[in-house]
Amino acid sequence: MVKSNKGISIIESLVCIVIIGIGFIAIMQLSAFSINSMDRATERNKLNYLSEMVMEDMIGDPDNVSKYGNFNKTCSSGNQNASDLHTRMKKKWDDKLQEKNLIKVNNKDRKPKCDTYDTKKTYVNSGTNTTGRVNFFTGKGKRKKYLGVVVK
Amino acid sequence: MKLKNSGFTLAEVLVATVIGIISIAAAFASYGYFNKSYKSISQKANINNTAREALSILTKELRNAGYVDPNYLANSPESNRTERTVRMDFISVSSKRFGGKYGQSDYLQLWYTNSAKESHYIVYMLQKYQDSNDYYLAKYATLNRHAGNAKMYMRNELFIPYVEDFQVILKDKEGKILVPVCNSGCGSVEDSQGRLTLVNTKYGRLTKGQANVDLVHTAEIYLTIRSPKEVYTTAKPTKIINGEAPHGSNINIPADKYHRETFFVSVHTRNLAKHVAISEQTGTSIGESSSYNK
Repeated sequence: MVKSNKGISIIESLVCIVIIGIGFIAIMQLSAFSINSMDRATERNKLNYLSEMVMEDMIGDPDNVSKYGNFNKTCSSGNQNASDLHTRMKKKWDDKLQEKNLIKVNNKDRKPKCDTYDTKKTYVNSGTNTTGRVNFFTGKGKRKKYLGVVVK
Repeated sequence: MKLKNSGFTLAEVLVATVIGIISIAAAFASYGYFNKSYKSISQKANINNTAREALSILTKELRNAGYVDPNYLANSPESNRTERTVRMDFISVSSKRFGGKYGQSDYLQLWYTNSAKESHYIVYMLQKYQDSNDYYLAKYATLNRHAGNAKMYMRNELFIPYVEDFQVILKDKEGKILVPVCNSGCGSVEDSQGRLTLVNTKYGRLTKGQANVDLVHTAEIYLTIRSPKEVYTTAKPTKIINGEAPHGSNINIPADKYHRETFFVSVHTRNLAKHVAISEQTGTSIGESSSYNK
């Protein structure tokens, strides 16, 4: 009787290592994804405060609230002439949404990632009650933040 | 019987060793990577959670600031309180006093009632940790501060850990920065803006720092929090600019490995500017008058 004690061939072991490697890469991507998720969570948290800021500004000027609508910005920061309060407030929203004057690293503004689909809009509807609303889109328009209040 | 008992050749053993070493090295490298990313995520999550919880309390208090219960002055356990004396306490900001590690942070005091017999006096300021050169945002809260049985129910409590900068910028209804709004604990910034100049108001003669309370329309808070532990592998310098110059901060932090986030909130201080007068004039409740709080 010839007993063959053959082990695994080098080809088999290499294939095995490649498969394990692919598994490792997948887990590493998971880790990278979780870091990204954390950054997104922080960004969302900040955006929540910014949408509250917009609502608070509307509530603070109820007589002129109709002028607070039609704010429509994506990634650019405009240079509106700040002659009256609502224009100044819109300029402020513009700056804060671009995170101007917040934190700088190596002398560069740390801006949130902005895509052409990342629009930030406000709407004001007059009726029996005047309502204000913000629609903020981030993450290439995929992440949406809506907030509305009755202003008066 | 012929038994074939051949072992591994030297080449096979060497190849197996090399492959084994590579896979062990990969396992170590990935452990290091996961460990690093876990540290980074947990530090960022820490900052985010702290900021969310703390700012929700802070914004609530700013919205309440200056609220006087309609029956408070008649029922207050605090002695000799009049509209004039309570107004002084509504809100007070001292720029760059108790300024923290970089000497640029602000000192915020506010006051409100939550019933006919209870008032709360709240103070936020940066305080140094005893065992390091870092600072935290401390909170003090006192119930019925001017009463004989005043109770300080929060004393130097750690409200937000590792705070690098805390800026409070008050604005009037025109959106312009309002300085000085300060009653006590004021610094040179308020003094240089004529804090002690006396002005006539409907509540009697007040200092400019006290009288400006009536004009506060919006409060903006900038809060920069640092991660408790190092996050990055390479050190890099950080420059923080919070708020408009000259009343904000401009801090250059030398290269280090910490992560920092700045949070910004803007609150309409609905209980400050003239709500009582408007309500008295029109005879309507605050919510019904379209021109309230202007």
